[in-house]
Amino acid sequence: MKRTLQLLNDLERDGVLTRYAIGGAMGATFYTEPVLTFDLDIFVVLPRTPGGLLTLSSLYEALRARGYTEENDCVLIEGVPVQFLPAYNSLVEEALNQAREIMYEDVPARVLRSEHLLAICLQTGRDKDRERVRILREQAQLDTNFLADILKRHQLEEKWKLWTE
Amino acid sequence: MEAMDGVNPEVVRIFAAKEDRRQTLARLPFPEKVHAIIKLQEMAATILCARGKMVRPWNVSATNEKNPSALTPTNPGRIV
Repeated sequence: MKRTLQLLNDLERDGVLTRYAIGGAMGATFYTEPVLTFDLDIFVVLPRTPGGLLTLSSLYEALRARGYTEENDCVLIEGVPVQFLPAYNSLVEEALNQAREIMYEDVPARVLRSEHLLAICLQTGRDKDRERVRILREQAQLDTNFLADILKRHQLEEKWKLWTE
Repeated sequence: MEAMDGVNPEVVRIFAAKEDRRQTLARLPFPEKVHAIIKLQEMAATILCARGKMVRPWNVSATNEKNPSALTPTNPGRIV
């Protein structure tokens, strides 16, 4: 995965994407026990297009130019299927802006904060998200005040009560 | 842990030990967790493929055959 992250850093340095962070199951795994997954979810902020459209096509084009091609919804980068997710709402934008800087072996990278991962799960609302919320609550060291503030600002307090009572 | 009424005490002990192990796994360094996930992928792939679900464990030793110089020791990447 180290070389996958190196490539993402290259894309950021070259301006193909503005900012990235690991999310999804791998993001949660940073804070919890390893959880089976077959892809690496990468949230991205993309450079603004003239028409303001949210599209991954220029990112895919840049990846193709580097020899990495799409496979279903993912791009196989150095042996890892990467699912790119553009920042699609204010919660994800905030999560990306406040993502943690980490070192994966000797490669810098970012991972979404556990509180944001949890909030995104609440917002997405699938059964697997509910399970991920349970695991994060049990194993991640959540900053409860920070989480409460996120839930309030993104109207997720009711959902949180529903899922945790 | 939630209450487990009517469960054999030995099973309660086993469940508690499993919970302790999960907490220990949660504290592993991230790269070790990634290696564990790849092992899980390998174990699960056989079963899932037999059920008709096509999955592929990560081959993180794979290189980009079309562009082998894309990542080199002199170009490790960095975040600006």
